[in-house]
Amino acid sequence: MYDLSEGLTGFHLFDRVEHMRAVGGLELDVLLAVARADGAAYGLNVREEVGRTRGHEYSVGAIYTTLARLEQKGLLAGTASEPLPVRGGRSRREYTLTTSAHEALAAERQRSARRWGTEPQWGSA
Amino acid sequence: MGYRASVGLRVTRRRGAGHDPARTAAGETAAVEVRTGGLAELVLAGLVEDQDELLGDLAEERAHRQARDGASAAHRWYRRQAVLAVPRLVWLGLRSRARWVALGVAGAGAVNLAVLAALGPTGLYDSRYTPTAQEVLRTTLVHGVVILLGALLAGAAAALLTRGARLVPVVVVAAFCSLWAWEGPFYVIYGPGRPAVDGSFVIELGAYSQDLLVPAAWQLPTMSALMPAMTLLGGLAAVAWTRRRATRGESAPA
Repeated sequence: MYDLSEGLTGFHLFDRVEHMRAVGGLELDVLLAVARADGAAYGLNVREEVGRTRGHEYSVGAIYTTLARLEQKGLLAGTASEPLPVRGGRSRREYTLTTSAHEALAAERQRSARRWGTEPQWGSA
Repeated sequence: MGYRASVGLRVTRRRGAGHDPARTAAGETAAVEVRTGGLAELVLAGLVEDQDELLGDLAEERAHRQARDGASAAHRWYRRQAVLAVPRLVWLGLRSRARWVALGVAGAGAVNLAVLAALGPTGLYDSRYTPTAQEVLRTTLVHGVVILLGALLAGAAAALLTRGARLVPVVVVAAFCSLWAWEGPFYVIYGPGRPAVDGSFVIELGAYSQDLLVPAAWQLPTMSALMPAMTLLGGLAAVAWTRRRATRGESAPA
């Protein structure tokens, strides 16, 4: 007998795996930066946070295109702020994580824990 | 939402604005007054869907850098960011807006074909006829100018047919024109003075001379560079026009 709940769980896992396949290294760090910004994430502070994490200063365009890709993948939701004087009267696009992004991050964390679980420290970082 | 558009920034600091973007998160401590008409901003505006996001980020960061490092360093930073962003934005546009890009490219192709059809078989090789230098020059100039005007219109058509990221199809058309222009020199190498294949013709600046030099000298520097340049110019003009219209629409009383 086919168990509907099992089927849904299976689909859910499949969906999660699909997200992980689709999310690259930089995208993952951008998702984490958005998560850390706690609802106030926009291009510049994401760029700053990703640069700090990765030890490399990314261009504004690199972060913009990554945020746009993640929004297209349904991992980020963006909303326009009010126009701000500091931006010459332009608005910000502020990002928050979607449910799919939370699942993707949780899955990545599990995957990372599984990968490194009991391995010794191979050398100095 | 309204904005005072442009690239060149004149920064006015108010009440000790901080350099850290986080310190001006509310956008209350610094104001960025911007002039209109910068090429870098126009190009970037033509490659994105949400102009406010990218241009606003650049303006905000530039303002902080200007206060910290000076105007020239901030300007250099801005230009470098603009150059670095272009290929990424084109690629993003190609991937995410393929249908609009295809529509723009088809529109530009239709304009180019119409212009070429109106001109007739330019560059057709006829071994029975050797034109004089004056004829070659006249035809080269007349046909060349018409073809370049056609490229200008094609670029504008590509941009106007697209919604958002209007310059992406224009870049595609310009790249195609540049490649297309190499067809003539290829035939010069393959068989001097024999551009015709099965009675068809190649596009070159009117030169139907058998002379090896004319197609090689004209086509490479002109068609491979001027035609894409004119296509891009047409696209940029269309982007500038749509932006001006949008700004007017926003500033008009409801």
